[in-house]
Amino acid sequence: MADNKHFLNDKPEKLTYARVWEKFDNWARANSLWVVAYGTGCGSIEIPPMVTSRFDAERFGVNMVGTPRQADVLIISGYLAVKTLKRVIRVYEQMQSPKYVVALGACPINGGMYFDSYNTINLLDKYLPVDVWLTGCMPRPEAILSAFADLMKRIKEGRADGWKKYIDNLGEYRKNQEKIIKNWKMPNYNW
Amino acid sequence: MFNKILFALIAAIVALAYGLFLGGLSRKIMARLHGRKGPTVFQNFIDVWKLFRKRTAISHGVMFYLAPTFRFLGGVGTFLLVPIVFDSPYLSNFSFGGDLIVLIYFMVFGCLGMALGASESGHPHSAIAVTRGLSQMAGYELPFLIAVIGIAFANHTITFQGIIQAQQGGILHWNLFQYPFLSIAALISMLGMYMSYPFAVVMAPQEIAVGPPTEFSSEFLSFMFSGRSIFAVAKYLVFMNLLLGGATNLLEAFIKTFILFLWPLFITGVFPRFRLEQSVRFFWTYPVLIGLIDFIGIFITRS
Amino acid sequence: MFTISDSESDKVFEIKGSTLPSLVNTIVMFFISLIGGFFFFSKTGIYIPETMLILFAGSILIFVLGFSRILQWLVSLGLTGYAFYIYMGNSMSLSQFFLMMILAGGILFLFASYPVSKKYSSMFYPLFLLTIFSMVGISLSKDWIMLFIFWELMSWFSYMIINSSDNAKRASWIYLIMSAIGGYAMLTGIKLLSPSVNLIPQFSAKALSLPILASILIFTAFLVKMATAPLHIWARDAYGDSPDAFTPALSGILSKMGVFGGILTVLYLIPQIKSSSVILYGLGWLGAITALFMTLFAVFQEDAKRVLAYSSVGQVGYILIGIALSTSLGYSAALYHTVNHLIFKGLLFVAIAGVIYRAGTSSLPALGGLIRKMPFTFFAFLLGIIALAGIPPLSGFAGKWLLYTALIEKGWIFILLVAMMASTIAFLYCFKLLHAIFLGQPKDKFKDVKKAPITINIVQLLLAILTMAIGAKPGLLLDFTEKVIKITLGFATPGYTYASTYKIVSSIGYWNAWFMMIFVGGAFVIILALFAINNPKIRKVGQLDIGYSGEVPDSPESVHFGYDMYAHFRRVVWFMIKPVAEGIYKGIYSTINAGVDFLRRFYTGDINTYAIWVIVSLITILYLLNKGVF
Repeated sequence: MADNKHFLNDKPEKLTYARVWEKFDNWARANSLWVVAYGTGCGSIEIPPMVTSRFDAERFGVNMVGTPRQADVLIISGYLAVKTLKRVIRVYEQMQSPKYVVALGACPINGGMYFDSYNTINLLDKYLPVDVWLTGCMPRPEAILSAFADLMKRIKEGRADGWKKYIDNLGEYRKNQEKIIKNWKMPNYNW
Repeated sequence: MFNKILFALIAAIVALAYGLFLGGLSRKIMARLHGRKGPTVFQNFIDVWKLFRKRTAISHGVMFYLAPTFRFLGGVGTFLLVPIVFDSPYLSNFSFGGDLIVLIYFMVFGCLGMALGASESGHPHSAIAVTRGLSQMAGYELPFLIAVIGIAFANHTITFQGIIQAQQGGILHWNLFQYPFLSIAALISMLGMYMSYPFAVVMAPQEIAVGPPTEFSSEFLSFMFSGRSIFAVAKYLVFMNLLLGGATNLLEAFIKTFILFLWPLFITGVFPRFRLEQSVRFFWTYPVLIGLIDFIGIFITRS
Repeated sequence: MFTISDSESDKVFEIKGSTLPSLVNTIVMFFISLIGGFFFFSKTGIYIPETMLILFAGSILIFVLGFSRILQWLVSLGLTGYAFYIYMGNSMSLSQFFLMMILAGGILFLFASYPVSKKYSSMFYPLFLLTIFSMVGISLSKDWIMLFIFWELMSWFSYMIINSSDNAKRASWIYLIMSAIGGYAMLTGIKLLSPSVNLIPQFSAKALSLPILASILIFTAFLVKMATAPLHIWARDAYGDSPDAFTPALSGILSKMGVFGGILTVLYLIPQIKSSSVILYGLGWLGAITALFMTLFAVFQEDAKRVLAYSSVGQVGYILIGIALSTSLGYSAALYHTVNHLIFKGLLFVAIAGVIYRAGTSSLPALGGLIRKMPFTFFAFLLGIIALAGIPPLSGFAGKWLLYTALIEKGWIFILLVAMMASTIAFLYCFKLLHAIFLGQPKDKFKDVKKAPITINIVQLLLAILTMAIGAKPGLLLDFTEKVIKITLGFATPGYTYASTYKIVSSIGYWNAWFMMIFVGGAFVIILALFAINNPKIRKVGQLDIGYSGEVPDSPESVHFGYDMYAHFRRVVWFMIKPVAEGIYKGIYSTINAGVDFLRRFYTGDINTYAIWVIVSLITILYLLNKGVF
């Protein structure tokens, strides 16, 4: 199992930060969202138009980066196969806090078009904490931009704390993950 | 002495802000080249602050932990060895510490620190990127050395003060116009130094996921990024002093470094990426041949 | 290519312990050689100081102690320390400078040699001491003949040490042949200096004719030892296959004997030539080409010692440029770099000896990640590499600064360009060494590697402190070189002046070493404080926890980048690293071999043929006698 005692016991709320800084920090985090360039499913076809010239996500500070170490946002775009879920969990855990998950499309919400498949998941929130849900099949780039605007609003208000939820309820999340991922074989140091 | 330290500190902070501002401005200009709006010009400040205030970070070991400090030190150190305003008691930083040879070797210091941290992370992409960066440095260093040695030998001095002094007396005395071929060689090697687009193989995002900073996150990355920005400003100052006649007041320094900033920016916008052997071969042929015209001329006339 | 010695003659070097008959044999040999030596040297008028005979006798004593490596080690250390104490003096002439360097280096490397030399043959320590003895003889010599005698002794003894290592037979053989070529050339040159057989030419002897030929011939011996291109073919394998405990001395001290001879030649012989400035310019180019090409070769080697071997040779190329400049600043640069190279190259080779001793291999693709197990070695190695690269706060930079300033002052800017390019390419192999040995992914088989032995740690620490101290105050070393330049080399100033205690000013530039050290140190502390105060929760991750596209790498070998690290660079410079010199030597060898092969038709090795030749020549001589020709 995950051997992460030294981190599990850390309650980020207890880290002392002055409230003033926190507001400014959140504003900075909202205006500089770095997305892992990871297309997990068919929804990722809508990401390139979002970042290119016509819909230009960079004007909001949104940037695609190549490695989870440097990213803030993980977009689960579309259906999530069980095989991909294992990698997505690892990518999520390699990101640094505070981090946010955007669920794109109908599939992470309730299974969408593949609700009765043996190989996909139906509700993403059981396995990863999601901050913003965006329905559609596929949502257009303007819709994704509005999801980002919503995410930015939540961050500025301090309500985007999926990462804290993950730390606090790690046991539950792990239970759900292990139930569906048959050959767990995930190294302990994942975390 | 205390005055000098105080002004140097203020200069470093202003240079950092200027570097980040230029970075954001370059993103804005590139966006306009692409026909879109682009982020605000202060985007790099926001990025650096966000990274700095991340709640968690990872480390791969001691050298990894120290690497951002080395990188930042390389940037700030290089900046502080270059005089901003010629002959000013306040704005010539610590240029009494050493001449151009010291500067050229000190520039490697920051890169070395980053290279060590990158390779301790254990990620093969970081190590590959560092070897690419070093090979490319061997590439652009040759035309740069031709320019520096040519100018130093022609003016029989290798200190900044001496080189700037020799360029006083009007625009036509700038090394840009006195030794045009050397300047062309130096400006082309400047593209390699800034890793702007034909020569961006080191940080090739589509191949090696950012290059040396692959495993760096949070405040590590923010220090790397800031170090990179202030290093960029330091290099603008070096080229300004070397080619554009130095600056006699602060406004002139800002204007001249801005002009130098535009040069790699405009080249970056329109080129794809060379492979490493293509870029090293390019540096060792065209700029070298151009620079050698003046170099041989100086050798014949001065010796 | 050819077979060298058969196993019978190899057994000479595998004496593991002494038995009574060989003990008696040895003692008799000792006394005979002692008496014979006194007799010979007193007859010929060559003066040998008593200390040297003590060293010689001591090495026989050490041979006798072959049963215990520790005793051998301690006695060698004691003898070298005693010699150092005896020769410590005030007047710093050129001989004294090199003498101090040899003995101090000898003490350090002997000290570091102990646990590593446990598996070596029992001849290792006697031969080491004999090599030191012959180098002391070289630096104490007052005329060319004594120099030649001890030069040949040094080549011979170092050949025997390199040969004593297991797979170094071919390497030592090529080393011996090249040294012999140099030695015979030197003898011919010395003969050209004074036609009379009985006269022993002093260093400043005037050549009666052909001074240019004499200088070139004499210089050849020194160029071979400095492994200058094109005489460098022995260096890679000799350094790479020699016993690990001896290689620091080989690169740090032995090659500097070539420097010593080079300075003597340039000082006394070359001024006698009419077009000496052209000769010196050519020598400068030789040094620059050596530096550039050896550095290029070093980038592509896959064995740690071979990389350092080519790197040593390249750095000595810089020293050759300094000598060829013949200005006071040039000599300052050369002498400073001589000692500095001993310090940081010795540090690097000693560290590598420790690594090989513990990890069992010197092959770069096989090593990796040793920083976790040998952190102290890594730190010392890092300081050595920073000094090698010539980065400012440490001591390597001063040598480069002096040399480049000297080159600009003299106007040799093309040589300067090549030298600075060589220095830039040196960064490539510096990173290669650091990454492939200490950083990257640690392999599973190195899980139980212990730290380096304590003697090696002590020597590393000493050399690292020395590097930092000289980096902060180059005057520590420059004071000595200044004295040498004023006393022996005859210049009025060393080419630079001191504007303040630490600020060195030349005619075209300046540099303040202590300020750089304080500045770098201070800024480092401030920035580190800012970094640490921020205090996010920093978590140390496991070895294989890298951003690997959501996957987990299955073994360290699959993600360690250690083999052929500069393949892309090789595609650019492949035409420059072709082994041209080796090809030429192979060509010469095959020609001679074919020619000699032709002689085998007459010299068949069959007794019947010889009998026929004897009879035929007897008949011919009798016939000619009869005819009255003789």
